[in-house]
Amino acid sequence: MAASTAIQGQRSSFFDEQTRRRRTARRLGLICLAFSAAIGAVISAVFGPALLVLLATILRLLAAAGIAPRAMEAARHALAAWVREGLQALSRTVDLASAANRVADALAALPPLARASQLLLPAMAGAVLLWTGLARFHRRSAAAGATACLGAREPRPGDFEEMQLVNTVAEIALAAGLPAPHVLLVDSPHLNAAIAGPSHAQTTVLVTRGLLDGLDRAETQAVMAHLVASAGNGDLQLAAALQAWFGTLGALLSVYDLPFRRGAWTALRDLARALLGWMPGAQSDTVNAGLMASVAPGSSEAMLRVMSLAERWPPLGALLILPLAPWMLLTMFQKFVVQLWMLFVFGWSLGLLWRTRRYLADAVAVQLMRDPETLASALRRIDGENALPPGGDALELAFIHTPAGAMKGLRERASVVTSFTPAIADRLARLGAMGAHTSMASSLTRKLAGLRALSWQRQLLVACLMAPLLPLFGMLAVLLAWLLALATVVSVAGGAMIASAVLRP
Amino acid sequence: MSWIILGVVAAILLYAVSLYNGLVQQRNQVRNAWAQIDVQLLRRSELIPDLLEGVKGYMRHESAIFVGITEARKQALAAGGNVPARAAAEAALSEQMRGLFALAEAVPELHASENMKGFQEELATTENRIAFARQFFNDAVLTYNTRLETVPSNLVAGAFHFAPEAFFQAEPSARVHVPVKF
Repeated sequence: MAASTAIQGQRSSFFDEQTRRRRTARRLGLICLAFSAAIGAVISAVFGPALLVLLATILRLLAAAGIAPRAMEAARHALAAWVREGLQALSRTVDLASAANRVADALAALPPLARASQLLLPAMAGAVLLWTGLARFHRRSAAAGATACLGAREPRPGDFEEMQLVNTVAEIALAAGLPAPHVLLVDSPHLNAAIAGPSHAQTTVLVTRGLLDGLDRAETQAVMAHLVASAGNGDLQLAAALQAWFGTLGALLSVYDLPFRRGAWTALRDLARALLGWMPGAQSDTVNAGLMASVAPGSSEAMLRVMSLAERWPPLGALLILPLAPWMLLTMFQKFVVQLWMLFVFGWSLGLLWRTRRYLADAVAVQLMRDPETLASALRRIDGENALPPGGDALELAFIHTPAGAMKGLRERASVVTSFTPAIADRLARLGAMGAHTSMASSLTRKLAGLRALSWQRQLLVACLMAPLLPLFGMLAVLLAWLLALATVVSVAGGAMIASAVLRP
Repeated sequence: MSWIILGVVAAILLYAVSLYNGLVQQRNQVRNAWAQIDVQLLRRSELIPDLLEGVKGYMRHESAIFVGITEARKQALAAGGNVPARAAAEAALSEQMRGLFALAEAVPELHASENMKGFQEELATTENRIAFARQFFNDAVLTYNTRLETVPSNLVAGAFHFAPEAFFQAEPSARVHVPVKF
């Protein structure tokens, strides 16, 4: 009796579930945005001043070439004054911070720090522009890219099941009030389905033949309901924005790799072609893979190889390397800070955000189908470590379910340790709370309810188990914070040095 | 002081405008959803002659149901845009179609034929499309009517004569569950 009332207690309607997930997703989205702004600031600490130096050099060259020399000189002086103001604010910040031995004193260093941050503005604005352009490219090329990656084909007109699939998709689109998606088949025995496209108004559904053979009509429709709901929630635009975010980060770091890696040149050339619209949509993954290669830990090897020149050709090699030394130092620290950030901070929050969006799409799918049971039984059939069809690694954001196995494709590039989709058991538990009666879902719900009933004992137990680990976690967090702070300080110092080049007469 | 009053009045006006626009948007959503139902009902109406033609040969002795379907179809077409009348007529048609389906199941030659699978699927998707379109319409009507009745949008709705819309109601077991076999 007690158990059944506990289950009743945590029953929720799909409407409540949607409201809750939507709120959480919004909160997580803001957190992700704040994290990206933070990492953006660290990268702009070098790129901002570098852009200013570039601008000053262009002005000087124009003046030397005799194009309105007086105006160019005046503009350059104004620029130098602006940079000087920023640098003075930065040195004041350093003075205040180093003299501070109380919290209040350290807080006094904040206003000059905010003033000094004006040096970041050019790079921040540039990154936002680049991000917008890349997001546009990814929105346009999403469907073609997914089709090319998975080798999808049109449904065969004579095939009964494929025609039935087209019917189920059209039906569920009516339920969502959206135009019917374009249906493509993937000849693969894996059970999965994905959605791609520029927006909810123009979508393509990619379904594996294995899903069609393994699920009945209603279950297939439930899977389609999840995908259509996901598109209706705006996941397609969000996915394109995320891909573009990774692309922007990769593009900025690729600039550091230019002296060491030929791949960086190709990646930046592909980026330019993508932004100009000369890149076929089918190759969109090549663009992102090339750009993200500079974020991967493997990219530092190219730099180490160049460094080893100094040992291989003792006098000449060292002379060649010497001018590159400050560049290498900056590259090392910038990559270090980005990799740490992605692995320990951004990857987690991104995974959380995307998993929340999956729960949300599940809840909307229940609203469309008015039947949580079919979705639950479909998910139980899809469950498995081998759910991704070949070529699907880079499209993980598009699938209804991705196994939490080895980090490959997008997850490897983005350093997301956990899966982009929740474990099937967790989703079944939520569907159970919305009324699914499948045996596994209800047993899980009961288990969860039992745990909840024991909440204070459980918390005590967890606390006892975690207590010995706490100092370890604390040390790890402090170490991470120190490393991040160190890398940031090196970046800021490098940026200040670059900026002072503007001031030379 | 007068600036503050002016600012408050402007804010209230802006808020009222946004409420009004929201209501118009909801009402258009309802109309769009109705158009979707209409499209699906017409689609069924156009399919019926073909469907009947396909099974007629096997079911000569069941002429009563064909007459019933043709009659129900005529009434549904006559109801036009009157939501309650249309809902009742279409529900009667759905009932007749289900009867036809049950009878067709019982004819051994038809049951064994390849046509039957296609016939079942066609019937299932037609009825599902109507059911889903109706669900979307009723959801839209619910949201719209709730806004008409709740504060503060009811003030705007009253001032600009927004009328509540009728639900597309059908008999309780309207969602046809055709037992499609694989």
